[in-house]
Amino acid sequence: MRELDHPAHAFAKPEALDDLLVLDCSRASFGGLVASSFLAELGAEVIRIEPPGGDPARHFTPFGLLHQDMGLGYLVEGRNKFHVTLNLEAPEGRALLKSLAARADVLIETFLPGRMDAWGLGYRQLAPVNPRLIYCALYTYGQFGPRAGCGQPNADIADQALSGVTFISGFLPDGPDPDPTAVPTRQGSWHGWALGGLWGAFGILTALHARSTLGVGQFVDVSPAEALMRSTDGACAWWELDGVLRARVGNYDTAIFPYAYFRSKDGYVLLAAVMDPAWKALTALMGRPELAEQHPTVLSRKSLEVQRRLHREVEAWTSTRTFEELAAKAEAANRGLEMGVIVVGRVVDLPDVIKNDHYRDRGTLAVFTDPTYGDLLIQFPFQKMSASPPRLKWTCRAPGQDNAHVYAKHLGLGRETLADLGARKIV
Amino acid sequence: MAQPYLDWAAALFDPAKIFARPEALRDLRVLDLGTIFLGPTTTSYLAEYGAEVIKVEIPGVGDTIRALGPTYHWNMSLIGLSEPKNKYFAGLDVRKPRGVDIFKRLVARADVLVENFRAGTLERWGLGYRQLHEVNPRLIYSAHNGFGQWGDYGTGRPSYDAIAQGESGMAAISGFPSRPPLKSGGYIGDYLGAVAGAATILAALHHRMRTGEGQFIEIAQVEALIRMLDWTWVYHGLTGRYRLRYGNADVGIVPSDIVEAKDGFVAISAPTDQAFAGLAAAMRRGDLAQDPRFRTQLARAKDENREALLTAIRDWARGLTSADLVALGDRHRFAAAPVASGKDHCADAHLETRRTLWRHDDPIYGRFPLYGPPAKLSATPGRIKWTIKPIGADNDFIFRGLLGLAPGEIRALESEGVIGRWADKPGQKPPDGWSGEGKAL
Repeated sequence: MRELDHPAHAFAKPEALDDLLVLDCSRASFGGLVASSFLAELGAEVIRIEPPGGDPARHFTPFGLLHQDMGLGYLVEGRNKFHVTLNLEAPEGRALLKSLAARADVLIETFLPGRMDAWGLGYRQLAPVNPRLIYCALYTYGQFGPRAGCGQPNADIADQALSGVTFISGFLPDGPDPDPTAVPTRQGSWHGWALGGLWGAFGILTALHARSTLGVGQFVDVSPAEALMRSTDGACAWWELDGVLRARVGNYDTAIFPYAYFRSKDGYVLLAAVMDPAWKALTALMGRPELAEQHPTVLSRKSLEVQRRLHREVEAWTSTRTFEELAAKAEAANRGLEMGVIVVGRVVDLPDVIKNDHYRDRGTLAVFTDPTYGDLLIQFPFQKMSASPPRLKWTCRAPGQDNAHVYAKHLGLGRETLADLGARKIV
Repeated sequence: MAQPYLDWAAALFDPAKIFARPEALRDLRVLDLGTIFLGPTTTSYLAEYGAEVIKVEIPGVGDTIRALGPTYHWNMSLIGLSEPKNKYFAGLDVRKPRGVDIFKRLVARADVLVENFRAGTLERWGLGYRQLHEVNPRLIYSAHNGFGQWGDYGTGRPSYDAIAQGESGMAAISGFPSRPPLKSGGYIGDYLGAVAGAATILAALHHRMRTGEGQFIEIAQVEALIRMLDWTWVYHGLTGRYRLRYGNADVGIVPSDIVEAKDGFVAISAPTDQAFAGLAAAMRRGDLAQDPRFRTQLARAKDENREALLTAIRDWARGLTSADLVALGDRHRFAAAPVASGKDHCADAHLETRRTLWRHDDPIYGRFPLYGPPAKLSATPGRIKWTIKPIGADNDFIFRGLLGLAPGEIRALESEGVIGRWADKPGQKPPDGWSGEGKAL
């Protein structure tokens, strides 16, 4: 299998999407950038269209750190894209975008609903010019519905909050009130934008598939908040069918025990023994078979109160053992189980990920030498594909770095025309 | 244009017309050999946009999701009711040689196979990529698991969503510095892996349309999460430091935080200088937008400036209600969004208008709410037709309608335990008194 899909062979193979031209007009949103990265990693020609001066997303960077004038988030999501500048505030700039859109397969944007339309660049104006165009807009509240016109900007944390995932994530009080760490808690990464961007890519590819039979493109409307909402699975049904408000449960699970993080001798571990035989086997390993007698079924272990008590008992056992010891014991016990085994996993610190040779070997995370930005420790495309694999060609480009190439290739604009457009702040 | 944009968009996407429009993936047949979330949610997403997904389960055993709490209705777990969409349910024991033969006949007629067994399991049963490629060279075979199909680290280990969150570093960067790494309350690694897998499958189908060639895909959940941790790795490479847990404050976009209002928690964010000027005006602190410490994103992100600013915002928000903050966000164009619950979603007219809160009436189970397809497609919208069915409910449709097995053959295979249905257990069996309505045939 290793020979079949190892990323080292990627450049010897074709690209899945290299017949597609994508315009990414996203602004101040990693949702749009993730969507176009997904397509660019799989071979699409993606043109990033930024205002002269660059997208504000280039400055979404920890502690304000820049590397060669570039924010660290954008260094990751500028990948494989051609970067041009174009002033959409100016009529001439808008005309140029319309010319590009006439040739494109996909357009991605993240403005407030109606902004592109007011510029004459919305789906209803572009579709007559290019009926095959797939137009994807990402916005926290989507393109229709009572909140679509609310005027608030895109924000990852708003996506996370609205999704319901924040409401069910976070610790319970562990000391005297008020405990500022016992609150609904966001994911540390831009997880709303991650899901929004992936759903954007999925929606675009779904529309492309439909285009192969319908012959026409369409409008794809994605709310990153709604994309992440799917990760709360049955929260709405639980409320309406049972009147139960699904709430946060710390590092426990809503429905099953043990499926929780526990302290071990060398860091935290996930220990799962969800099915009843696995739980019984675990309590035997612990030398505490009475716990399985007291709480024999999944349902009898469900309440948070029971989970907290049992968690203390199990942690007393895990905290004196290393991960390897726990994993070896689980493996031995699993030999006697037919289904629903004991599973132990690591909750690692970042150095463990960075130093793990597995990810180097599989091309998941490694140092990449970018022609513009030098050596960067960076995540590679995550999919392995045997016939048309994704690949990383470059990580990022400066605003307008590809103006000469892109405008010559697609619109026939040469050096002197660009110099004139530049002098008038159109590009 | 005469018609205002929002009215035009509302008409274009009119949810009342969803079933009057065609389905994007209606020409695809997908086989689902997955369990719980990672694999089966991938195929649910394809089914929501029209693919014919055949879920193949071991008779009398089935997908664990059927018993994955937290409560039961009509003999089905709530998660079992909520998660699968629009699939056909076949009971076939693919661990038995006759089951393998029949499964291969399905493969010959399929476009995509999704599985999430431990690496190597299906090959042992004679159903690995190498074997199925012989049967159908156009097949897209997508193998999903924790750590990948090859390599030294954990590729044969069972994995769960919580392990992927733990092994990727996602838990390590989530939560508060004084607390342990935080596991999300949702199975977010599974859901991310599922949409990433579904999009990758469509890219492979695009390649097949151009070349006629199928292929093998690996989706390793841990690797998908590592990919989506934005600046975590670049930051270490450039500074030698490790990203920490910063609680609810974003250290890359300032201000961005979750604050406590009078009546609940609200996310506040001003990702651009323009939005920040709006927030400052709402706080009646127009001076903040002129202050060199706060005027630009890069300045606001410096440690001392960020802390001073977030403290000012928290103090201001404490005196207001969630509704006040949302209204101010609308007026002054910064982001202010309540931390919403499942209960809030059920009462949200916006979500209901968009059919993201989907008021479902199931052919077998009746009425309950679901989260609808997130990507709204104007010409080929996604939709929900039904959710789960008892194991093997669509056996006749699959084995007679698709493969042409005679009734006598089906009975013989049933008596050998190759083809089968549900056991008399909650999660597998139909609702009490079920008359068979909702089967495909």
